[in-house]
Amino acid sequence: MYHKEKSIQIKNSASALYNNLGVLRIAPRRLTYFTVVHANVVNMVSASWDGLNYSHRQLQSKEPNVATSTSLIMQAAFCVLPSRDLLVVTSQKGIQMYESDGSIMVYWHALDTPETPTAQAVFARGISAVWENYICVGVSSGAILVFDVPSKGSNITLSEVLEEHKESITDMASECSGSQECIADLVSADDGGNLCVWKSGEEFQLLNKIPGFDMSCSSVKLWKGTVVAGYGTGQIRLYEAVTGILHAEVNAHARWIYSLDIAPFSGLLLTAAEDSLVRVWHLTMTPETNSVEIAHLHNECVTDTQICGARFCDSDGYAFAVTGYDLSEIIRYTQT
Amino acid sequence: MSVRTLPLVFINLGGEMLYILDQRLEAHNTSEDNSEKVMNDIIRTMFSKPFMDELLKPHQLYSHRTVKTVLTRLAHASIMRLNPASIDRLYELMIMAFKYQVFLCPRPKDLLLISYNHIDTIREFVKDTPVIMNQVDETHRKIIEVYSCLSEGEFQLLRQTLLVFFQDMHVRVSLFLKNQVQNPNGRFSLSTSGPVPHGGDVPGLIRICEELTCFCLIQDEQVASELARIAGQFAEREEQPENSNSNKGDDLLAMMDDL
Repeated sequence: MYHKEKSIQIKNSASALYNNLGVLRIAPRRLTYFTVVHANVVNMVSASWDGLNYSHRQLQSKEPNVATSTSLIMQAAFCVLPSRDLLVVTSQKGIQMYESDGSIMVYWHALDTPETPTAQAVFARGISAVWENYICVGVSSGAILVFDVPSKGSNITLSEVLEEHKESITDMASECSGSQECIADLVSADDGGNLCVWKSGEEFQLLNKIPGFDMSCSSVKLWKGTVVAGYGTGQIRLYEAVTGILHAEVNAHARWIYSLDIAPFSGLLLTAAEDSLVRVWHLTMTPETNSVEIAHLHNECVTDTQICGARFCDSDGYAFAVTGYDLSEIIRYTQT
Repeated sequence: MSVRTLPLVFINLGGEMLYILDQRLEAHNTSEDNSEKVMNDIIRTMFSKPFMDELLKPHQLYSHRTVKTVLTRLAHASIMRLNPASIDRLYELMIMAFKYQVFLCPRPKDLLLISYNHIDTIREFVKDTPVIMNQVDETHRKIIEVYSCLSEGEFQLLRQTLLVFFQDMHVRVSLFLKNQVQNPNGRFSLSTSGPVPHGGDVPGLIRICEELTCFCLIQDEQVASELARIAGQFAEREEQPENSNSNKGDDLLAMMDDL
């Protein structure tokens, strides 16, 4: 179904962090941007579609002169909004927002870090753009910071803090391109496996809370009103977002799941875990019976590698890319 | 990242250091008295109350340079002296041994079991010296107190912090190469078969839940058969397992959980 393409070499190896691969497709310029986090640095590669041009850039976390261990980056992700695309980088120090090519930092939000470390670690993790002009970022305390993003410029403001989760946020996801009526447009996940479903607006509204089973949900996606969640046990669960009804449960991997992605036009699901496997599945919705089906399609094994990032490179799922701990390359696969 | 890494770093790296030193002392035909004295002095210093209490406070992870300096000072708390080349090689071996264990542990909570293994062996080294053995026991008790209430997610954060510490280190260790747990390029071998971790399930099962329609209980044959049809919609479907994983070993791990 897929075959391996030429890998993209990156300047540093990927760190073992959840969802450690960002992809942004720039169709007008026939380019794709990739981001991979290594300790306190984000490696950015801009790859031309003809495979002939690659340019690299590195973004440092704020206050890089301080010891590496205090300024470690947790995640880097692209946020696609109707008027602009931004690259958001979250670390132990706070949240940095850049123009999507990484050229200029447009916003910095510092986290409240105590002088001497307290028992609870402090960091930001979990990034999602939410229709129409919000970027949401999770924090280790369980809070979610909602930023209001203007269509251009750096006048980004913190508009709301959502305090529903009691454990560290692991991942967040949204859907809603604005062209259809969505009831839920954001889902957030935490270290206890709890999921919160939200409706965006001037004041975000909590629609549903789906309890976890004390097992971390490391990666989450929202598609056609269905939450797809990956857990540390290697299991995937599909829930109806608004009601919390469990549609399906899949024993997908033998180790901790690190990354999930969905290709929205085709319903293809990509899952990747520490067991060195990337799996491709197909989701089908049947509105008449209110059911969701999931079928397993394909596997790829990245030998001796604990995978930490996997993403489709386009909305149809024609190609996907993978990163692994200690690997200094982005591995790519394309449909045959 | 995690602020709870230091005690595990020093207990595990210290433990590896002691295994290697013990083996080297024996290989050099050091007298039993001197060997015992060296091991006792190092362990007494490593497990001293002030040292451990300091480590147990929340800390960001130290740099390699700092960790190596502290471990060298611990080794030199004894009459033994190591030259810089020996220290470098010793440090590489310790790091690779601990990296191997952290990288391959089936679930993050196993970091605690790895640490307990090291503490148990260290206890063996000082079994003839009750005072030092008490220090080791006291440390063991404190570790249980601090770590046993952490969640699986918090352990994974701890593990991820340690993996950043070990990142890009691929020193080849002859024992690992010989046993084929390490490849010639220095990367560890990751098996795609074997037991799943305790609490996990063997991949392969897809369970689809279909919604049961609400119904009223009426004594009517036609309705009864319709109800039976609806009840039959709650079905499980099973696929062929992709991997040959099995559940062997999870009972042992469950027992170890209770320790």
